[in-house]
Amino acid sequence: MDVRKTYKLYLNGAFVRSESQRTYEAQGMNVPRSTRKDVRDAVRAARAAFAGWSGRTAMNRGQVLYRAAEMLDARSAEVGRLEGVERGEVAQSVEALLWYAGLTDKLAQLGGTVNPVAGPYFTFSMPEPTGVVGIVAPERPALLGLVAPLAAVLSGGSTAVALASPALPLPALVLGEVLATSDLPAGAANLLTGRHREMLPTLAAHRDVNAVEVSGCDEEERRKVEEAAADSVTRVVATEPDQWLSPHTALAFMEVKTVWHPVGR
Amino acid sequence: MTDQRTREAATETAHGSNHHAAAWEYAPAPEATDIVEIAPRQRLFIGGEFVDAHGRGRITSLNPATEEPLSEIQEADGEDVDRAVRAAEAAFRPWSRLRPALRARYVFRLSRLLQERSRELAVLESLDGGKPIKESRDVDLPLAAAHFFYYAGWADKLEWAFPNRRPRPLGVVGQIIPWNFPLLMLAWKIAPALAAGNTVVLKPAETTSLTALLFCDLCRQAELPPGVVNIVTGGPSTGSALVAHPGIAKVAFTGSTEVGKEIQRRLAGSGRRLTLELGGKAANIVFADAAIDQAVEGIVNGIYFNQGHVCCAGSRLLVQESIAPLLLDKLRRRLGTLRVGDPLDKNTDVGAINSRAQLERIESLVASGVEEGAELFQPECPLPDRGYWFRPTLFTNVAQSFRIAREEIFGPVLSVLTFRTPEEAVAKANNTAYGLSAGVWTEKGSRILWMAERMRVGVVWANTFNRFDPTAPFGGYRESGFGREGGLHGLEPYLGWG
Amino acid sequence: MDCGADFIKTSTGKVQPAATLPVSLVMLEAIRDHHRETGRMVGFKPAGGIRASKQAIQYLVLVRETLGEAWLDPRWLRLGASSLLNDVLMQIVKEREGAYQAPEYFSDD
Repeated sequence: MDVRKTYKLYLNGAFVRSESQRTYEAQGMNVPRSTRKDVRDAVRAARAAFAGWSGRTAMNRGQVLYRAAEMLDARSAEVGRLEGVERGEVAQSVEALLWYAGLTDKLAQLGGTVNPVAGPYFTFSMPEPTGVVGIVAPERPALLGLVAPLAAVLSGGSTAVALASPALPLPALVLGEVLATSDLPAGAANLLTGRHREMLPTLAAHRDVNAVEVSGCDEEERRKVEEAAADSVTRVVATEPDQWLSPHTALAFMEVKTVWHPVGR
Repeated sequence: MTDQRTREAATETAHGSNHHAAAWEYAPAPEATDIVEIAPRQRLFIGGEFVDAHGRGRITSLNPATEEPLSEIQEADGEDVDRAVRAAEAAFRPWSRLRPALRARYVFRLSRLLQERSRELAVLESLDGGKPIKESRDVDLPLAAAHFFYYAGWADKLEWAFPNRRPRPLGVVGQIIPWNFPLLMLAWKIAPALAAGNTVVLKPAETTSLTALLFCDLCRQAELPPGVVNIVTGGPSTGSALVAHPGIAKVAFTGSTEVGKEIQRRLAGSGRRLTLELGGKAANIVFADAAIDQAVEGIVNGIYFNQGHVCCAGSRLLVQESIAPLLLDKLRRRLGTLRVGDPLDKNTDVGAINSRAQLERIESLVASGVEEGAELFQPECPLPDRGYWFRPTLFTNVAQSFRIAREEIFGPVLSVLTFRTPEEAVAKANNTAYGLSAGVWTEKGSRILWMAERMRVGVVWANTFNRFDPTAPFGGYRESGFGREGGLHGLEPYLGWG
Repeated sequence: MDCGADFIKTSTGKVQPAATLPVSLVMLEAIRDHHRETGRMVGFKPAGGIRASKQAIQYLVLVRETLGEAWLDPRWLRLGASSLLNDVLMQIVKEREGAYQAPEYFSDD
């Protein structure tokens, strides 16, 4: 007889039940059904983690993502057996983590410029993380569709609140266990399960969320997210699967800052 | 035109109170205006021709320095916008398929034409918008021409600019620009759009449409294919029709955060692209070790340039406590030497407020500052009897919670706050929903970079302020908008991929 | 100035470059700050390189803008420019007669 595991949310570096204590059944398990308040708590945790995570060196963020790839790879058999995880999906997810682990310290060179202005000034532009990013993972692929945008967001130094696939939430919850053992600081990534329609309006309208990744939304959801986002000029990004491994996906969650200084004796 | 009497009144009293005054006043130095011919009635520019609007609305464009009418512009309605979008759609295929090097030539031509006719455009800009001729002549026009020149050069290098992305133009771009830098904003919008192979429908602001309409004549001289650039004039309803038009592939807007949010909401679910360049409430931070006289000049340039009608204006001065008395003393004296008056006078530093509506907004926010307990300082400078004017204004004793420290005033009004540590300066600078620009003044290099890293803004000016260049990306964080204008980053929003 | 100088001068005027606008601005700002701190006025003399009336006017403007009109007085401002005089004369005659002048009409010393 096997030892059953209670699956929990990954929130602020801890494994917790929904504050509402509610669950729903998915993939044969009772899974936390998160509420607006869980979203609120997750955004607060992500905001608190932002200064630390964005303040790490790019090299260090790369090391953490590499560690996450190691941890996921070590559990690939277990994750691969989960219902709904497609053949090769775990390997691809490991690949995505590695890809972004190697991108962190390339972003400034791919997305930055030195600007040859017509005057005695030195000016340069560099990408900086936008802040807290909401991620709406697609129904399928439940793991890769979450890992790819999450790795992109983390690689640039932003922190994340991700809503897992409602029908296939277990891969996301296992991913939480992977991240928890990867030296990722608490709050940098927060993974919530439950019904999107309960969480999404709160996430999209949250004034302290800087960007929302909507590739997991249907058309109607996306329209609502975009409407709510307008209240605080929140960026809305949709990442197509063919851009899952692209520096431009990471750069979509970054702002460009231009700095000027006079040149003189 | 400003009458002689007004100009004399402005110069006579601008400066002096001592007994040498009469002997050492500057003579008026008005720029001649005969270079510009302004038709009494303007039309829309659609498909390469000036056409009468279907819409019946008419708007009188005033000279804000005299309140005299300059011309009448037509208010485009939904049908006019539709006509303009169709013209742009028809022009898109041939324009986007034109050999890129040839597309570049057209954009180069526009740049050269802006240089050739720069004085004419500068005078018109100052007449229509109230900005000092010194500025339209030395800043707006050279930068507008430089923008076209810069982006012309990208037109045939897109594959090198965006390797592995297969760039392609988007289609018809709808662009809406504000009244503070009418021609320069037109350049920021049109130059990258055309270089990328798009066609455009642009709506200038209703108080400052004249230079955009004169630009149409440059398009004619450049023999730009009809429909590549279309200009529709009008107010908010025209802008609204443009944003809502299904033929528009992308919207680019520069203006207030309020309207920007409205546009973002309107475009929700449409799948159309959007870039927004919105308001700001920039902190200009002066440390005790700063070169103080340069900092004073930078502060003045930061907030009184263009009457403070600048989205990235340094409207919050943060001074390190130990030098606050000295800096403020120097600043007050410097304010006393600013010349407010006739925009066409080559000695004018601060011109006319753009419109009565804007003047009223400034007045009401300044009144709120006084009411909330801030201490107001304005130099002794008499203002002309007619026209829209506001004295350079400095508020001390300002708390971070006051409206004048939080809301964008978009006028020549500076709020002064103090700080003790770099951490406090950063915290105060970032304590706003905006995130467009910031200034930092210190002789310590490591502190500049430390500050620059921490300020959540799109542009940091260190030991300088309000510098612009076509090669340098410009744009905001948070509620100051998204997307960049200028540089390689400014080209990207006008391209699709694959 | 702190030791009691009544006048400060850019240089002898015999070496190049001598008086330039940026250098003069720095000196004028020092005079202005000294006056602000002590209440004592110090005079200024830019020398060398000022050959044309137009340049002289630029200096007058610079002094007026930085120090104010009180300094626009021979007691506080001297232009050390022997070669300037004839150009000023030429401009005065031009204003009077309406035609631009040639140097041959004016004696060199």
